[in-house]
Amino acid sequence: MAASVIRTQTITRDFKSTRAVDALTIEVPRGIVFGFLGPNGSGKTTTIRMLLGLLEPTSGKAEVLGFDTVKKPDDIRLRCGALLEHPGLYERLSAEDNLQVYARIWNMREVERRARIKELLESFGLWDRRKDPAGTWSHGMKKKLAVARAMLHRPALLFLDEPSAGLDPVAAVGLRDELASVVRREGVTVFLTTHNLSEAEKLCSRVAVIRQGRLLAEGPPDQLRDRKGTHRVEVVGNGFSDDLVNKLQLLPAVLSATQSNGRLLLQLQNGSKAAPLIRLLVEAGAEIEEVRKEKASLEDVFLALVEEDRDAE
Amino acid sequence: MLNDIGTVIWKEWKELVARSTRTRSETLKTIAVAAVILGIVVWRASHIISNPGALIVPSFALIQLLAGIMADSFAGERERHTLETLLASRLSDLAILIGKIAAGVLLVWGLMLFATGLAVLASAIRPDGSPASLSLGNIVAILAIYFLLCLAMSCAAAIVSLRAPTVRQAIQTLTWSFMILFFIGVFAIARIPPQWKTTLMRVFMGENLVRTELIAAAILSGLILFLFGAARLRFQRARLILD
Repeated sequence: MAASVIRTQTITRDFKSTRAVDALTIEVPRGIVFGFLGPNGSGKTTTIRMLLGLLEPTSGKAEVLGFDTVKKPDDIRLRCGALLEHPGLYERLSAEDNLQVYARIWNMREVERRARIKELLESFGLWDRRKDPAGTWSHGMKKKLAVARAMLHRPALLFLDEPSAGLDPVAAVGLRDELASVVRREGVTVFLTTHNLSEAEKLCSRVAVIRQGRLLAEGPPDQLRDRKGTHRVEVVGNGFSDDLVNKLQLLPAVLSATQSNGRLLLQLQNGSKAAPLIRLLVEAGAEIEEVRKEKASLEDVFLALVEEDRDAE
Repeated sequence: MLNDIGTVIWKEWKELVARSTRTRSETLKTIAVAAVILGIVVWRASHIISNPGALIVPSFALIQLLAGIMADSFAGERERHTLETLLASRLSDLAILIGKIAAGVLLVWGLMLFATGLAVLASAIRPDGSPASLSLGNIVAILAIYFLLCLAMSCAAAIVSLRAPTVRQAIQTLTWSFMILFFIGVFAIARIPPQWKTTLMRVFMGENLVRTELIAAAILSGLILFLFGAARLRFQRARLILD
Protein backbone atom coordinates (compact mmCIF):
# COMPACT_ATOMS: atom_id res chain seq x y z
CA MET A 1 0.00 0.00 0.00
CA ALA A 2 1.10 3.57 -0.68
CA ALA A 3 3.14 5.46 1.94
CA SER A 4 0.72 8.37 1.63
CA VAL A 5 -2.76 7.69 2.92
CA ILE A 6 -4.27 10.64 1.08
CA ARG A 7 -3.15 11.93 -2.28
CA THR A 8 -5.13 14.52 -4.22
CA GLN A 9 -4.27 15.88 -7.65
CA THR A 10 -5.83 19.25 -8.45
CA ILE A 11 -9.27 18.30 -7.15
CA THR A 12 -11.87 20.94 -7.72
CA ARG A 13 -15.49 21.07 -6.64
CA ASP A 14 -18.01 23.57 -7.91
CA PHE A 15 -21.50 24.23 -6.56
CA LYS A 16 -23.27 26.01 -9.40
CA SER A 17 -21.26 29.23 -9.75
CA THR A 18 -19.34 28.84 -6.48
CA ARG A 19 -15.96 27.10 -6.43
CA ALA A 20 -15.72 25.41 -3.02
CA VAL A 21 -12.40 23.63 -3.61
CA ASP A 22 -9.97 24.90 -6.21
CA ALA A 23 -7.29 22.61 -7.70
CA LEU A 24 -6.24 21.23 -4.34
CA THR A 25 -3.15 19.05 -4.34
CA ILE A 26 -2.04 17.55 -1.05
CA GLU A 27 -0.36 14.43 0.24
CA VAL A 28 -0.82 13.07 3.74
CA PRO A 29 1.81 10.61 5.02
CA ARG A 30 0.79 7.60 7.10
CA GLY A 31 0.72 7.77 10.90
CA ILE A 32 0.57 11.53 11.45
CA VAL A 33 -2.03 14.06 12.54
CA PHE A 34 -2.50 16.28 9.50
CA GLY A 35 -4.08 19.66 10.14
CA PHE A 36 -6.25 21.16 7.44
CA LEU A 37 -6.61 24.79 8.41
CA GLY A 38 -8.79 27.46 6.97
CA PRO A 39 -11.36 30.09 7.85
CA ASN A 40 -15.09 29.26 7.79
CA GLY A 41 -16.32 28.49 4.29
CA SER A 42 -12.86 27.78 2.94
CA GLY A 43 -13.76 24.29 1.63
CA LYS A 44 -12.59 22.07 4.50
CA THR A 45 -15.83 20.12 4.90
CA THR A 46 -16.27 19.78 1.14
CA THR A 47 -12.75 18.34 0.94
CA ILE A 48 -13.54 15.75 3.63
CA ARG A 49 -16.76 14.81 1.86
CA MET A 50 -14.86 14.30 -1.39
CA LEU A 51 -12.16 12.25 0.34
CA LEU A 52 -14.84 10.01 1.88
CA GLY A 53 -16.43 9.53 -1.53
CA LEU A 54 -19.64 11.27 -0.45
CA LEU A 55 -19.21 13.98 -3.08
CA GLU A 56 -17.56 13.63 -6.46
CA PRO A 57 -15.01 16.23 -7.49
CA THR A 58 -15.94 18.35 -10.49
CA SER A 59 -12.43 17.71 -11.79
CA GLY A 60 -9.16 16.23 -10.56
CA LYS A 61 -8.42 12.97 -8.82
CA ALA A 62 -8.04 11.81 -5.24
CA GLU A 63 -6.87 8.60 -3.64
CA VAL A 64 -7.46 7.59 -0.05
CA LEU A 65 -5.62 4.53 1.33
CA GLY A 66 -4.80 3.69 -2.28
CA PHE A 67 -8.46 3.71 -3.43
CA ASP A 68 -9.88 6.13 -5.95
CA THR A 69 -12.55 8.26 -4.26
CA VAL A 70 -14.88 8.09 -7.26
CA LYS A 71 -14.41 4.45 -8.27
CA LYS A 72 -14.00 2.81 -4.85
CA PRO A 73 -15.81 4.94 -2.25
CA ASP A 74 -17.11 1.87 -0.38
CA ASP A 75 -13.56 0.57 0.15
CA ILE A 76 -12.56 3.94 1.57
CA ARG A 77 -15.52 4.18 3.96
CA LEU A 78 -14.86 0.62 5.12
CA ARG A 79 -11.40 1.62 6.37
CA CYS A 80 -12.07 5.15 7.63
CA GLY A 81 -13.74 6.69 10.64
CA ALA A 82 -15.32 10.12 10.54
CA LEU A 83 -16.56 12.80 12.85
CA LEU A 84 -18.29 15.19 10.49
CA GLU A 85 -19.63 18.70 10.95
CA HIS A 86 -22.24 17.50 13.48
CA PRO A 87 -21.65 14.78 16.10
CA GLY A 88 -24.47 12.78 14.43
CA LEU A 89 -25.51 11.01 17.64
CA TYR A 90 -28.87 9.36 18.20
CA GLU A 91 -29.87 11.59 21.06
CA ARG A 92 -32.65 9.37 22.37
CA LEU A 93 -30.33 6.39 22.63
CA SER A 94 -27.85 5.90 25.43
CA ALA A 95 -24.15 6.46 24.79
CA GLU A 96 -23.61 2.72 24.90
CA ASP A 97 -26.39 2.08 22.37
CA ASN A 98 -24.99 4.77 20.08
CA LEU A 99 -21.72 2.87 20.00
CA GLN A 100 -23.55 -0.48 19.74
CA VAL A 101 -25.30 0.72 16.55
CA TYR A 102 -22.00 1.55 14.87
CA ALA A 103 -20.20 -1.50 16.25
CA ARG A 104 -22.88 -3.62 14.55
CA ILE A 105 -22.52 -1.58 11.38
CA TRP A 106 -18.78 -2.35 11.43
CA ASN A 107 -19.58 -6.03 11.89
CA MET A 108 -17.78 -6.35 15.20
CA ARG A 109 -18.44 -9.52 17.17
CA GLU A 110 -20.34 -9.33 20.46
CA VAL A 111 -17.33 -9.90 22.76
CA GLU A 112 -15.07 -7.56 20.79
CA ARG A 113 -17.88 -4.99 20.66
CA ARG A 114 -18.36 -4.88 24.42
CA ALA A 115 -14.63 -4.73 25.16
CA ARG A 116 -13.96 -1.98 22.62
CA ILE A 117 -16.91 0.15 23.78
CA LYS A 118 -15.72 -0.12 27.39
CA GLU A 119 -12.15 0.72 26.39
CA LEU A 120 -13.12 3.83 24.43
CA LEU A 121 -15.70 5.12 26.90
CA GLU A 122 -13.15 4.76 29.69
CA SER A 123 -10.44 6.47 27.62
CA PHE A 124 -12.68 9.49 27.10
CA GLY A 125 -13.97 9.47 30.69
CA LEU A 126 -17.56 8.67 29.69
CA TRP A 127 -18.00 5.17 31.11
CA ASP A 128 -19.94 6.21 34.22
CA ARG A 129 -22.67 7.88 32.17
CA ARG A 130 -22.92 5.25 29.46
CA LYS A 131 -26.59 4.48 30.22
CA ASP A 132 -27.76 8.11 29.91
CA PRO A 133 -29.40 9.24 26.67
CA ALA A 134 -26.80 11.08 24.59
CA GLY A 135 -29.22 14.01 24.26
CA THR A 136 -28.85 14.80 27.96
CA TRP A 137 -25.07 15.19 27.68
CA SER A 138 -23.05 18.41 27.36
CA HIS A 139 -21.74 19.45 23.96
CA GLY A 140 -18.20 18.48 24.93
CA MET A 141 -19.23 14.99 26.04
CA LYS A 142 -21.17 14.50 22.82
CA LYS A 143 -18.09 15.44 20.81
CA LYS A 144 -15.98 12.94 22.77
CA LEU A 145 -18.59 10.25 22.20
CA ALA A 146 -18.63 11.04 18.49
CA VAL A 147 -14.83 10.72 18.36
CA ALA A 148 -15.07 7.40 20.22
CA ARG A 149 -17.66 6.22 17.69
CA ALA A 150 -15.38 7.19 14.81
CA MET A 151 -12.52 5.16 16.33
CA LEU A 152 -14.64 2.13 17.23
CA HIS A 153 -13.55 -0.15 14.40
CA ARG A 154 -9.87 0.84 14.61
CA PRO A 155 -9.86 2.71 11.28
CA ALA A 156 -6.64 3.23 9.36
CA LEU A 157 -7.59 6.86 8.78
CA LEU A 158 -9.69 9.16 10.90
CA PHE A 159 -11.39 12.30 9.58
CA LEU A 160 -12.20 14.86 12.25
CA ASP A 161 -14.10 17.91 11.06
CA GLU A 162 -13.73 20.72 13.59
CA PRO A 163 -13.84 18.45 16.67
CA SER A 164 -13.56 21.33 19.12
CA ALA A 165 -15.98 23.71 17.38
CA GLY A 166 -18.51 25.15 19.81
CA LEU A 167 -16.71 23.87 22.91
CA ASP A 168 -15.65 26.08 25.80
CA PRO A 169 -11.85 26.36 26.29
CA VAL A 170 -11.77 23.82 29.14
CA ALA A 171 -13.78 21.23 27.19
CA ALA A 172 -11.72 21.90 24.05
CA VAL A 173 -8.44 21.31 25.90
CA GLY A 174 -9.89 18.17 27.54
CA LEU A 175 -10.97 16.78 24.18
CA ARG A 176 -7.65 17.66 22.58
CA ASP A 177 -5.59 15.97 25.30
CA GLU A 178 -7.70 12.80 25.30
CA LEU A 179 -7.71 12.74 21.52
CA ALA A 180 -3.93 13.12 21.40
CA SER A 181 -3.43 10.28 23.85
CA VAL A 182 -5.85 7.89 22.09
CA VAL A 183 -4.44 8.72 18.65
CA ARG A 184 -0.89 8.12 19.89
CA ARG A 185 -1.87 4.79 21.46
CA GLU A 186 -3.76 3.52 18.41
CA GLY A 187 -1.30 4.81 15.80
CA VAL A 188 -4.06 6.05 13.53
CA THR A 189 -3.56 8.67 10.82
CA VAL A 190 -5.76 11.70 11.44
CA PHE A 191 -7.01 14.28 8.96
CA LEU A 192 -8.09 17.14 11.20
CA THR A 193 -9.85 20.25 9.97
CA THR A 194 -9.92 23.17 12.35
CA HIS A 195 -9.71 26.89 12.69
CA ASN A 196 -8.46 26.49 16.24
CA LEU A 197 -4.79 27.15 15.57
CA SER A 198 -3.45 26.40 19.01
CA GLU A 199 -5.14 23.00 18.75
CA ALA A 200 -3.48 22.42 15.37
CA GLU A 201 -0.13 23.59 16.73
CA LYS A 202 -0.27 21.06 19.58
CA LEU A 203 -1.68 18.10 17.67
CA CYS A 204 -0.43 18.27 14.10
CA SER A 205 2.93 17.30 12.70
CA ARG A 206 2.00 18.65 9.27
CA VAL A 207 -0.53 21.28 8.23
CA ALA A 208 -2.08 22.72 5.10
CA VAL A 209 -3.67 26.14 4.99
CA ILE A 210 -6.51 26.82 2.58
CA ARG A 211 -8.61 29.84 1.80
CA GLN A 212 -11.54 29.94 -0.60
CA GLY A 213 -10.69 26.41 -1.64
CA ARG A 214 -7.11 27.25 -2.62
CA LEU A 215 -4.05 25.78 -0.93
CA LEU A 216 -1.94 28.61 0.46
CA ALA A 217 0.81 26.63 2.16
CA GLU A 218 1.64 23.14 3.33
CA GLY A 219 4.31 21.58 5.53
CA PRO A 220 5.35 20.95 9.14
CA PRO A 221 4.27 23.84 11.44
CA ASP A 222 7.92 24.70 12.25
CA GLN A 223 8.80 24.95 8.60
CA LEU A 224 5.80 27.16 7.92
CA ARG A 225 6.76 29.39 10.81
CA ASP A 226 10.30 29.70 9.47
CA ARG A 227 9.11 30.28 5.94
CA LYS A 228 6.32 32.71 6.55
CA GLY A 229 6.49 33.96 10.06
CA THR A 230 8.30 36.85 11.62
CA HIS A 231 10.23 36.76 14.89
CA ARG A 232 9.18 38.78 17.85
CA VAL A 233 11.66 40.22 20.36
CA GLU A 234 10.56 41.75 23.64
CA VAL A 235 13.12 43.92 25.43
CA VAL A 236 12.48 45.01 29.03
CA GLY A 237 14.43 47.97 30.42
CA ASN A 238 14.69 51.79 30.44
CA GLY A 239 15.72 54.56 28.08
CA PHE A 240 13.77 53.57 24.95
CA SER A 241 13.31 57.07 23.61
CA ASP A 242 11.07 57.89 20.65
CA ASP A 243 14.16 58.78 18.61
CA LEU A 244 15.65 55.40 19.31
CA VAL A 245 12.44 53.60 18.36
CA ASN A 246 12.23 55.59 15.11
CA LYS A 247 15.86 54.77 14.37
CA LEU A 248 15.16 51.06 14.90
CA GLN A 249 12.17 51.18 12.58
CA LEU A 250 14.37 52.34 9.72
CA LEU A 251 16.58 49.26 9.91
CA PRO A 252 15.94 46.65 7.19
CA ALA A 253 15.86 43.79 9.74
CA VAL A 254 13.01 45.42 11.69
CA LEU A 255 9.42 45.22 10.50
CA SER A 256 8.00 47.22 13.38
CA ALA A 257 9.07 48.66 16.71
CA THR A 258 6.75 49.85 19.49
CA GLN A 259 7.35 50.68 23.12
CA SER A 260 5.19 51.09 26.18
CA ASN A 261 5.77 50.92 29.96
CA GLY A 262 9.43 50.05 29.66
CA ARG A 263 8.83 47.30 27.12
CA LEU A 264 10.11 47.48 23.59
CA LEU A 265 8.45 45.15 21.09
CA LEU A 266 10.30 44.41 17.86
CA GLN A 267 8.97 42.43 14.91
CA LEU A 268 11.93 41.13 12.94
CA GLN A 269 12.25 39.94 9.39
CA ASN A 270 12.48 36.18 9.06
CA GLY A 271 16.10 35.08 9.64
CA SER A 272 17.20 38.35 11.23
CA LYS A 273 19.31 38.25 14.38
CA ALA A 274 18.44 40.11 17.56
CA ALA A 275 22.01 40.54 18.88
CA PRO A 276 23.06 43.52 16.64
CA LEU A 277 19.88 45.35 17.64
CA ILE A 278 20.52 44.80 21.33
CA ARG A 279 24.08 46.11 20.87
CA LEU A 280 22.66 49.20 19.15
CA LEU A 281 20.26 49.78 22.04
CA VAL A 282 23.04 49.50 24.62
CA GLU A 283 25.27 51.81 22.60
CA ALA A 284 22.42 54.35 22.43
CA GLY A 285 22.28 54.35 26.25
CA ALA A 286 19.33 52.08 26.96
CA GLU A 287 19.45 49.94 30.11
CA ILE A 288 18.41 46.39 29.34
CA GLU A 289 17.16 44.00 32.00
CA GLU A 290 15.65 41.22 29.95
CA VAL A 291 15.43 40.09 26.30
CA ARG A 292 12.85 37.50 25.15
CA LYS A 293 12.83 36.14 21.62
CA GLU A 294 9.69 34.37 20.40
CA LYS A 295 9.04 32.56 17.17
CA ALA A 296 5.88 33.46 15.31
CA SER A 297 2.95 31.27 16.27
CA LEU A 298 0.99 29.22 13.76
CA GLU A 299 -1.71 31.81 14.20
CA ASP A 300 0.66 34.55 13.01
CA VAL A 301 1.61 32.41 10.01
CA PHE A 302 -2.01 31.65 9.24
CA LEU A 303 -3.05 35.29 9.45
CA ALA A 304 -0.07 36.34 7.33
CA LEU A 305 -0.97 33.79 4.66
CA VAL A 306 -4.62 34.78 4.60
CA GLU A 307 -3.71 38.47 4.50
CA GLU A 308 -1.24 37.89 1.67
CA ASP A 309 -3.85 35.96 -0.29
CA ARG A 310 -6.43 38.68 0.28
CA ASP A 311 -3.99 41.33 -0.92
CA ALA A 312 -3.18 39.29 -4.02
CA GLU A 313 -6.86 39.27 -5.10
CA MET B 1 -25.95 -7.57 2.97
CA LEU B 2 -28.62 -9.35 5.07
CA ASN B 3 -26.58 -8.67 8.17
CA ASP B 4 -26.40 -4.96 7.32
CA ILE B 5 -30.15 -4.79 6.65
CA GLY B 6 -30.69 -6.47 10.03
CA THR B 7 -28.47 -3.86 11.68
CA VAL B 8 -30.44 -0.99 10.14
CA ILE B 9 -33.74 -2.59 11.24
CA TRP B 10 -32.38 -3.05 14.77
CA LYS B 11 -31.27 0.58 14.87
CA GLU B 12 -34.62 1.87 13.60
CA TRP B 13 -36.59 -0.18 16.14
CA LYS B 14 -34.28 0.83 18.96
CA GLU B 15 -34.84 4.50 18.08
CA LEU B 16 -38.58 4.01 17.77
CA VAL B 17 -38.80 2.41 21.19
CA ALA B 18 -36.62 5.16 22.66
CA ARG B 19 -38.86 7.79 21.04
CA SER B 20 -42.05 6.22 22.42
CA THR B 21 -40.67 5.77 25.93
CA ARG B 22 -38.60 8.91 26.30
CA THR B 23 -40.58 10.15 29.31
CA ARG B 24 -42.88 8.41 31.77
CA SER B 25 -45.96 10.11 30.26
CA GLU B 26 -44.97 9.01 26.74
CA THR B 27 -44.48 5.44 27.98
CA LEU B 28 -47.92 5.49 29.66
CA LYS B 29 -49.47 6.95 26.49
CA THR B 30 -47.94 4.20 24.33
CA ILE B 31 -49.13 1.49 26.74
CA ALA B 32 -52.62 3.05 26.92
CA VAL B 33 -52.99 3.21 23.12
CA ALA B 34 -51.80 -0.40 22.75
CA ALA B 35 -54.19 -1.54 25.53
CA VAL B 36 -57.21 0.21 23.91
CA ILE B 37 -56.45 -1.28 20.47
CA LEU B 38 -55.94 -4.78 21.87
CA GLY B 39 -59.07 -4.44 24.02
CA ILE B 40 -61.17 -3.56 20.95
CA VAL B 41 -59.63 -6.44 18.98
CA VAL B 42 -60.46 -8.94 21.76
CA TRP B 43 -63.94 -7.45 22.36
CA ARG B 44 -64.91 -7.48 18.68
CA ALA B 45 -62.93 -10.62 17.80
CA SER B 46 -65.80 -12.66 16.34
CA HIS B 47 -67.06 -9.68 14.35
CA ILE B 48 -63.57 -9.04 12.91
CA ILE B 49 -63.08 -12.69 11.97
CA SER B 50 -66.51 -13.06 10.36
CA ASN B 51 -66.38 -9.75 8.48
CA PRO B 52 -63.35 -8.74 6.38
CA GLY B 53 -64.69 -5.17 6.19
CA ALA B 54 -64.09 -4.84 9.94
CA LEU B 55 -60.36 -5.14 9.27
CA ILE B 56 -60.37 -1.89 7.30
CA VAL B 57 -60.31 0.36 10.37
CA PRO B 58 -57.33 -1.24 12.18
CA SER B 59 -55.46 -1.71 8.91
CA PHE B 60 -55.99 1.95 7.98
CA ALA B 61 -54.85 3.07 11.45
CA LEU B 62 -51.72 0.94 11.12
CA ILE B 63 -51.02 2.32 7.64
CA GLN B 64 -51.14 5.82 9.18
CA LEU B 65 -48.63 4.65 11.78
CA LEU B 66 -46.42 3.29 9.00
CA ALA B 67 -46.61 6.61 7.14
CA GLY B 68 -45.48 8.40 10.30
CA ILE B 69 -42.57 6.02 10.84
CA MET B 70 -41.42 6.27 7.24
CA ALA B 71 -41.78 10.07 7.14
CA ASP B 72 -39.20 10.16 9.92
CA SER B 73 -36.87 7.62 8.29
CA PHE B 74 -34.74 9.97 6.16
CA ALA B 75 -36.18 13.44 6.82
CA GLY B 76 -35.91 12.85 10.58
CA GLU B 77 -32.31 11.73 10.36
CA ARG B 78 -31.51 14.72 8.17
CA GLU B 79 -33.21 17.04 10.66
CA ARG B 80 -31.33 15.52 13.60
CA HIS B 81 -28.01 15.61 11.67
CA THR B 82 -27.46 11.85 11.95
CA LEU B 83 -27.89 11.05 8.26
CA GLU B 84 -24.47 12.21 7.06
CA THR B 85 -22.66 10.09 9.66
CA LEU B 86 -24.72 7.07 8.63
CA LEU B 87 -23.93 7.76 4.97
CA ALA B 88 -20.22 8.02 5.80
CA SER B 89 -20.29 4.49 7.24
CA ARG B 90 -19.57 1.28 5.37
CA LEU B 91 -23.27 0.51 4.81
CA SER B 92 -24.30 0.25 1.18
CA ASP B 93 -27.11 2.37 -0.29
CA LEU B 94 -29.28 -0.72 -0.68
CA ALA B 95 -28.75 -1.91 2.90
CA ILE B 96 -29.78 1.51 4.29
CA LEU B 97 -32.81 1.83 2.01
CA ILE B 98 -34.08 -1.74 2.41
CA GLY B 99 -33.36 -1.69 6.15
CA LYS B 100 -35.39 1.45 6.70
CA ILE B 101 -38.31 0.25 4.55
CA ALA B 102 -38.27 -3.19 6.16
CA ALA B 103 -38.15 -1.77 9.69
CA GLY B 104 -41.48 0.03 9.19
CA VAL B 105 -43.14 -2.76 7.23
CA LEU B 106 -42.17 -5.54 9.65
CA LEU B 107 -43.31 -3.55 12.65
CA VAL B 108 -46.71 -2.56 11.24
CA TRP B 109 -47.38 -5.86 9.53
CA GLY B 110 -46.25 -7.64 12.68
CA LEU B 111 -48.78 -5.62 14.69
CA MET B 112 -51.50 -6.51 12.17
CA LEU B 113 -50.48 -10.15 12.35
CA PHE B 114 -50.55 -10.02 16.13
CA ALA B 115 -53.97 -8.29 16.17
CA THR B 116 -55.44 -10.79 13.71
CA GLY B 117 -53.97 -13.73 15.62
CA LEU B 118 -55.39 -12.33 18.83
CA ALA B 119 -58.80 -11.90 17.19
CA VAL B 120 -58.75 -15.51 15.94
CA LEU B 121 -57.73 -16.72 19.39
CA ALA B 122 -60.29 -14.59 21.22
CA SER B 123 -63.06 -15.67 18.85
CA ALA B 124 -62.15 -19.36 19.41
CA ILE B 125 -62.06 -18.99 23.21
CA ARG B 126 -65.14 -16.78 23.52
CA PRO B 127 -67.46 -17.52 20.55
CA ASP B 128 -70.42 -15.10 20.55
CA GLY B 129 -72.50 -17.04 18.03
CA SER B 130 -71.70 -15.11 14.85
CA PRO B 131 -70.80 -17.37 11.93
CA ALA B 132 -67.09 -17.47 11.05
CA SER B 133 -67.17 -16.65 7.35
CA LEU B 134 -63.39 -16.28 6.89
CA SER B 135 -61.36 -19.44 6.50
CA LEU B 136 -57.76 -19.61 7.68
CA GLY B 137 -56.70 -19.51 4.00
CA ASN B 138 -58.58 -16.26 3.52
CA ILE B 139 -57.02 -14.73 6.61
CA VAL B 140 -53.54 -15.70 5.35
CA ALA B 141 -54.35 -14.22 1.92
CA ILE B 142 -55.60 -10.98 3.50
CA LEU B 143 -52.44 -10.75 5.61
CA ALA B 144 -50.28 -11.41 2.53
CA ILE B 145 -52.02 -8.64 0.59
CA TYR B 146 -51.75 -6.35 3.59
CA PHE B 147 -48.01 -7.06 3.66
CA LEU B 148 -47.75 -5.96 0.02
CA LEU B 149 -49.85 -2.89 0.78
CA CYS B 150 -47.52 -1.98 3.67
CA LEU B 151 -44.52 -2.46 1.39
CA ALA B 152 -46.00 -0.19 -1.29
CA MET B 153 -46.93 2.41 1.30
CA SER B 154 -43.48 2.21 2.87
CA CYS B 155 -41.69 2.70 -0.49
CA ALA B 156 -43.92 5.67 -1.36
CA ALA B 157 -43.36 7.26 2.05
CA ALA B 158 -39.61 6.63 1.76
CA ILE B 159 -39.54 8.63 -1.50
CA VAL B 160 -41.37 11.49 0.22
CA SER B 161 -39.01 11.31 3.21
CA LEU B 162 -35.94 11.27 0.94
CA ARG B 163 -37.11 14.48 -0.70
CA ALA B 164 -38.44 16.35 2.34
CA PRO B 165 -36.14 18.62 4.35
CA THR B 166 -38.09 18.07 7.58
CA VAL B 167 -40.35 15.41 9.09
CA ARG B 168 -43.20 17.90 9.30
CA GLN B 169 -42.99 18.55 5.58
CA ALA B 170 -42.86 14.82 4.83
CA ILE B 171 -45.97 14.22 6.95
CA GLN B 172 -47.78 17.13 5.27
CA THR B 173 -46.96 15.77 1.81
CA LEU B 174 -48.12 12.29 2.79
CA THR B 175 -51.36 13.61 4.35
CA TRP B 176 -52.17 15.64 1.24
CA SER B 177 -51.38 12.66 -0.99
CA PHE B 178 -53.67 10.44 1.13
CA MET B 179 -56.51 12.96 0.94
CA ILE B 180 -56.13 13.43 -2.81
CA LEU B 181 -56.10 9.65 -3.37
CA PHE B 182 -59.10 9.24 -1.05
CA PHE B 183 -61.19 11.86 -2.85
CA ILE B 184 -60.17 10.55 -6.27
CA GLY B 185 -61.29 7.09 -5.06
CA VAL B 186 -64.62 8.39 -3.76
CA PHE B 187 -65.18 10.37 -6.96
CA ALA B 188 -64.26 7.37 -9.13
CA ILE B 189 -66.58 5.02 -7.21
CA ALA B 190 -69.45 7.49 -7.61
CA ARG B 191 -68.87 7.53 -11.37
CA ILE B 192 -68.80 3.73 -11.83
CA PRO B 193 -71.85 2.44 -13.77
CA PRO B 194 -74.32 0.44 -11.55
CA GLN B 195 -73.77 -2.90 -13.38
CA TRP B 196 -69.97 -2.59 -12.84
CA LYS B 197 -70.59 -1.89 -9.16
CA THR B 198 -72.66 -5.08 -8.86
CA THR B 199 -69.89 -7.10 -10.49
CA LEU B 200 -67.25 -5.55 -8.22
CA MET B 201 -69.36 -6.21 -5.10
CA ARG B 202 -69.78 -9.84 -6.17
CA VAL B 203 -66.02 -10.13 -6.56
CA PHE B 204 -65.30 -8.60 -3.15
CA MET B 205 -68.12 -10.44 -1.36
CA GLY B 206 -66.79 -13.89 -2.10
CA GLU B 207 -67.16 -14.97 -5.68
CA ASN B 208 -63.74 -15.59 -7.30
CA LEU B 209 -62.02 -14.38 -4.13
CA VAL B 210 -58.79 -16.21 -4.94
CA ARG B 211 -58.66 -14.64 -8.39
CA THR B 212 -59.31 -11.19 -6.86
CA GLU B 213 -56.54 -11.73 -4.33
CA LEU B 214 -54.11 -12.78 -7.05
CA ILE B 215 -54.95 -9.75 -9.19
CA ALA B 216 -54.54 -7.44 -6.18
CA ALA B 217 -51.21 -9.07 -5.33
CA ALA B 218 -49.97 -8.69 -8.91
CA ILE B 219 -51.00 -5.01 -9.07
CA LEU B 220 -49.39 -4.28 -5.70
CA SER B 221 -46.18 -6.14 -6.67
CA GLY B 222 -45.87 -4.04 -9.84
CA LEU B 223 -46.48 -0.88 -7.82
CA ILE B 224 -43.87 -1.92 -5.25
CA LEU B 225 -41.26 -2.56 -7.96
CA PHE B 226 -41.96 0.84 -9.48
CA LEU B 227 -41.88 2.69 -6.15
CA PHE B 228 -38.77 0.88 -4.92
CA GLY B 229 -36.99 1.67 -8.20
CA ALA B 230 -37.94 5.33 -7.79
CA ALA B 231 -36.70 5.34 -4.17
CA ARG B 232 -33.44 3.68 -5.25
CA LEU B 233 -32.92 6.35 -7.92
CA ARG B 234 -33.62 9.09 -5.39
CA PHE B 235 -31.17 7.63 -2.86
CA GLN B 236 -27.92 9.36 -3.78
CA ARG B 237 -25.42 10.12 -1.04
CA ALA B 238 -24.26 13.42 -2.51
CA ARG B 239 -27.83 14.59 -3.02
CA LEU B 240 -28.89 13.55 0.48
CA ILE B 241 -25.99 15.43 2.03
CA LEU B 242 -26.35 18.59 -0.03
CA ASP B 243 -30.15 18.72 0.26
